[in-house]
Amino acid sequence: MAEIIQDEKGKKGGKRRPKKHSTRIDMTPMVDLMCLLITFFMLTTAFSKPKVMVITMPEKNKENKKDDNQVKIPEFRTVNVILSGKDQIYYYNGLADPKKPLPNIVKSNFSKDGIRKVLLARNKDLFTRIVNYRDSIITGKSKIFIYTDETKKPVFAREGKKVFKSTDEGGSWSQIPAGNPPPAEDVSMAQIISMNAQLSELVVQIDKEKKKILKREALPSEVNGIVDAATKGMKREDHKGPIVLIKADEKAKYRDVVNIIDEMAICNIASYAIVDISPIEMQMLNNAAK
Amino acid sequence: MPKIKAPVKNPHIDMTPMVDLFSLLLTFFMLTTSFRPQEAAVVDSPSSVSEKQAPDKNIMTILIDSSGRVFLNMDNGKDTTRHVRAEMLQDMAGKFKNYNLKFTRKELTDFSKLGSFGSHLDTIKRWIDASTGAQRQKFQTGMPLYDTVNNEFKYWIYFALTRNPDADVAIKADGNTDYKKVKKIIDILQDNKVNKFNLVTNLQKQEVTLKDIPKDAGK
Repeated sequence: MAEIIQDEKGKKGGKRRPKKHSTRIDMTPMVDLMCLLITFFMLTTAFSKPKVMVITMPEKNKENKKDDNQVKIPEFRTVNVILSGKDQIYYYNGLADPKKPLPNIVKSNFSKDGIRKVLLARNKDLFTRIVNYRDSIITGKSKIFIYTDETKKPVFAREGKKVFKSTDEGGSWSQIPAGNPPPAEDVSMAQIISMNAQLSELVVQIDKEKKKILKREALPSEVNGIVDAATKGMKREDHKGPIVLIKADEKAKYRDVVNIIDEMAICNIASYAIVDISPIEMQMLNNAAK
Repeated sequence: MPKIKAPVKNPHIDMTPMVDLFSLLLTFFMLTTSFRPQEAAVVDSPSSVSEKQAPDKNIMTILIDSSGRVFLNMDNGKDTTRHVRAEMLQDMAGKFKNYNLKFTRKELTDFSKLGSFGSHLDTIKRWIDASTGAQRQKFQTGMPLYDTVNNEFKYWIYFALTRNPDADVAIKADGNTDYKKVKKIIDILQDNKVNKFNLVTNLQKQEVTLKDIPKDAGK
């Protein structure tokens, strides 16, 4: 202890040096903050594009309100789904005719084992076909060829027997309905053109303008558009799958309707429509709720 | 000769160039980010598997919050030569002459730059003239449409679609909104010959494979 005191005394006695301030600033916290700010701005610029779900409603006609005006739909294909509020979803098969005994109404829900199972069971064939088709394109078993004119603008595309033409909006395709189906699996372009009137018109147009047709494989970005067009085409040609009529009562929320339309897309349902609920169905609901 | 070990100094990396680069990147992002205009109401959209992007130009968005209040947002048109919003506002002033609305040029340009709006026609001038965002928010009470006498919403849609017929229509409604209110909006749009709607949703992917088909799939 005495030594220490002596030392201090010694220091005091020595030359007094002013404390040197270090001129080095530690930049680490500043870099840290910059990093955070950049990450924030990088991520927020990516957020601004919201996603949409497109629905098309049939045209309203105000003049004829009679039920007889509705298109006749075969009863055995109809599935009616009634939405009645949070997780209150009922369904029944066929049509509810007041003069005949009412069909059995079943309560379901939006979980994986609910209405999705019912719809998948009814739509098994179309669903399987669409999933297999998508898989065959993704794994590369079937190839898609794009035919462009000299300016590299895509005019039409071919995948096996299916032919698509590009629509005005860039990136979208629509399937040209087949004329007479070609006899063999492996068909040449010439054979398809001879059998598909719309396609031959397109080719004639390009020929008239003295432009050449160039062929190439599809890019990954184009594949999605073509697969969507093919799926739409398959749904259009389907005549066996269920026709789903979606009805919402007073208690239904917007979220329920969006969820059921989502299930239509997930289960690849070919035809569905949102229609008004009828008084018989309101009665069926009341009876079922008890 | 004994080896002289050089004293190991802790390496000090000079951070200046790194900070310099960070400032440049930050300035770039700050200038290129465009903030979304303040939406009139907070809307919690439901989720769906749809991955389609909303078109960002030439689109009319109808916002419906959980209590059913309706707000409208409209683009100024496909390019900067169109002034759809200003034209719409003057059409409404012309239709509802009893409110005696006269807009100055400055008010019209301000209106063109603002976002979604939803107020009675008698308070819309005060909404445009409000100086701060907070004051402006007070006038966002939602558009009247539920009573047939005062159905201003119907006319806003009519004039918007007359001035810009090829605009896409998007509906951004809260998950908890009553469906019948959304249905009313859809009915008004169908009356104006719009049959294709874009419903704004959040992406939530669902994996469904062939294995999910129930084994006893019959009729």
